[in-house]
Amino acid sequence: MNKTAKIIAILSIALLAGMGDVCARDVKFEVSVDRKQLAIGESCQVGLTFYEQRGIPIPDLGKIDGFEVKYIGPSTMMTVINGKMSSSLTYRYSFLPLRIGNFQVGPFTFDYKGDKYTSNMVAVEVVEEKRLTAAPVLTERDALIDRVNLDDRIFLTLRVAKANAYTNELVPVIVKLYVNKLNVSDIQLPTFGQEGFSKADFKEPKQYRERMAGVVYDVLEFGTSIFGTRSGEYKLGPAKIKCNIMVKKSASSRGWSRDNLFEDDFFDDFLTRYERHPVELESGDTPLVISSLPTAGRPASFSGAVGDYQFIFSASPGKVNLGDPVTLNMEINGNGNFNTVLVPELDNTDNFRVYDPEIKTDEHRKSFKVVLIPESDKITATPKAVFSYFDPNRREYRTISQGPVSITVEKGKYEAPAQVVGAPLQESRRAVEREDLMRDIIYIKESPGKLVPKDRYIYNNPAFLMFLPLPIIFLAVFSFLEARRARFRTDSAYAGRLLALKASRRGMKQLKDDIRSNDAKRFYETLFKTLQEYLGNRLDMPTAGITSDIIGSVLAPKGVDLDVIRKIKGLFDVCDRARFAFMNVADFKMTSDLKELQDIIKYFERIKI
Amino acid sequence: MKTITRLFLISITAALLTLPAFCEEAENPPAELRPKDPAQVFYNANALYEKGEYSDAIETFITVLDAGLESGNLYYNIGNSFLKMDKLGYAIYCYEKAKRHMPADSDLKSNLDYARSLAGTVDYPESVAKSVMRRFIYPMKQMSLGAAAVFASVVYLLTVLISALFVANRILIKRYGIIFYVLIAICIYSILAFGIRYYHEEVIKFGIVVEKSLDCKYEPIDKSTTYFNLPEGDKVVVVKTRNGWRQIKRLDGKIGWVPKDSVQEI
Repeated sequence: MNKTAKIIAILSIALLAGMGDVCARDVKFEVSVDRKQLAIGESCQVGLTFYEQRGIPIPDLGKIDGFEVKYIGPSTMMTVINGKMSSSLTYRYSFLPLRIGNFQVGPFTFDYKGDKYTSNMVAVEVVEEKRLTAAPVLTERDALIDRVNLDDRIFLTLRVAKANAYTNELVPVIVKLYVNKLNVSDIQLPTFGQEGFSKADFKEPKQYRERMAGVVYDVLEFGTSIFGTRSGEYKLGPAKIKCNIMVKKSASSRGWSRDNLFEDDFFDDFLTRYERHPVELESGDTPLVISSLPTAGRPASFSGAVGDYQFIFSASPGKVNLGDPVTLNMEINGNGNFNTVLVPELDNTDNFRVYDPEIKTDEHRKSFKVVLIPESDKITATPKAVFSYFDPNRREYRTISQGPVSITVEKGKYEAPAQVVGAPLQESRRAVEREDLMRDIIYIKESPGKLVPKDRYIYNNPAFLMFLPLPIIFLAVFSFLEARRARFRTDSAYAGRLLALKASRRGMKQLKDDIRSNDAKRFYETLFKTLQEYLGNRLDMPTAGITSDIIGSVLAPKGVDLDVIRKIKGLFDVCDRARFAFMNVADFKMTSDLKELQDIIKYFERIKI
Repeated sequence: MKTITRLFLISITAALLTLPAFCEEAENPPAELRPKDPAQVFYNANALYEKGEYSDAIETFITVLDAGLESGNLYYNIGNSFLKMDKLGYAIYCYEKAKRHMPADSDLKSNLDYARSLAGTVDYPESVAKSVMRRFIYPMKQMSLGAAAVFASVVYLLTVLISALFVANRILIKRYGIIFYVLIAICIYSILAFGIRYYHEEVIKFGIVVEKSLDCKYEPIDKSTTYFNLPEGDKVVVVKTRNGWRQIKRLDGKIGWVPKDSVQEI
């Protein structure tokens, strides 16, 4: 298709759509489809449009012949033409064809608030898949596939291995899901009607391909076994499987024709989307006759086992002291219903104490470990074990006897018998049977217990939550203070520095008071004492030993600035003069001396001595 | 400094002593909410149960709940009554509620298992990591979450107190250091275990299906397509609740929407 043709096609479609809109203006309820011809495996969108109406509930279309219907959602449209506004509400549905043929969608009738709405009718043709696309060379198999409907593309079968069985006989059941050229996802495990039967769990499904009537199907095979618990004629099934079919939903369903505009494979893939259609597949049912086990020839030791079994028997150890345990290992293996296999019967256990068996069951094996404690040193062999079962293939009862196995019981030193928890065997067999029959709830509680406010828990209490960080904060603060205290005790330089600073702060406060009271003598006495105390603590020397005379010889070797030393000496001299010569000192002089003291202390706080 | 130490130790001890006050505050109902004799109401309900009047028994039990009080035994008995009425979903829901108050009760475990077996459902499955975690917190799972919170708090305060003692007197840590390290280990364990339980019981919201055969939809709309079906009594994770619908996650990870009242949040 050349470019001009494409443009003409687009303009034509737009014109037709516009005309359609104009024509539909008077119609209140209209049905439309996005494509009137589609193939099996594709879907089309059907719109139910209500004009000039709002709040209309979603119409229930019910069952539509030939289609699986899925509601997609609503859409609204408002148009303003020459200042006149109109609105429409469209409910969209996805229609998945189930078979080929010509179908009618509508007319639909719908009542709302006393008004009756009747829609138009639209014809839809469901065709073979290949008719919609350019026809490639078809193989014989493709041709066969194209003629089948959706029911032939995906279906379910239920098969039982035999039509007649005995009660408790295992009957294999196979459920097969056949799929041909469809994308299927979210496949759930099959279910089927099984009244009168007990069913095992489904095994891991097998996947393979199978040719049927010339068509190749992907097959998912689910296997399980059932057994009838009562005799009678039954119908097994139908089996059901829920899954989703992934249906191609092309962009053409949104109102323009892909076939006309793009014939390129790239656009085909790019514009194709998938839509899930949930389906429930159902197989046919199958008759199964369950017969009672024959009474003729039933051995006394028969306990209900049905199948084809072998019986292995051993005892260990072969030599024991009186009172020590002997373990009988009994294994039943083969094919059959192991639910019905009980512990083999032990013959003549008079001189033994017999304990509960330990039972292990696998798919084709059930083993029993029975502990016996010989009560006499005259015992020479274990009891004999007898196992009876019904073989459904031979249609007869069979009995296997094993043992006795020789053992030696020595008197030896008497010790308390090994502790084996459980009741004797005969009782346990009855108990096992009772357990299946008598399960029920345990009686109500007689007292209300501790009644607490509903939904109020300590861990949601804001006060409690706020309280929780406090101890850890206290611990952190306490640890810090303790560490500081320990350093104060052990590090003299650190302690001196702290004390010096403390003394200087105290002195500064006093000096400021003295300036306010204009007491020069007292000011310089305090200044002298503060400077002396500070330097004494800072240099770790006796306070009384700090004088103007020695200050230079002490500080200079420690690398203190000569200018600072000179300032210190100056301050000491001023203090001496003021204290002993009673000179008059102006306010500003006291302030400047205080400033000088502060500078000296700041200097010493900065340097490391 | 010794004064500070003393003050600190006193404050920690006071904190330990005030902890029961929080518990008391949390566990005692306000007077206006208390029925005159909730225990008597409970006994009356038990009498109705014994007569086989299960519906009336439930109504009577619920008057205690309506008064703002609850207990494990109360939920257990309501669960039994629902089970007798064959309402398996509500029975399992009540047993799950009771489990929060008395997780180690063997009667409760037996009845819950029985109810589940009747409903054909299983408990929510757990991954290997969760299974390991469950074993790790097993000792803490023997008590209710509130009791676990109190236990963890007491251990925490004791650890802080002992730590403070060791900080104040370093010689003690040389002699009795093992006590300190054991206490630290217990403290970390109990706080971790409580945190894990809190996450699984309070942060993750579970729900029980109380309707027979519940359709789970793709969208929270009546007409939406049914995605899958849930049996009565099934346990699901409640992802969110909105406009009368709950978004739930099934044990196989599939997510869908169900009407709010059809799944009761535990």
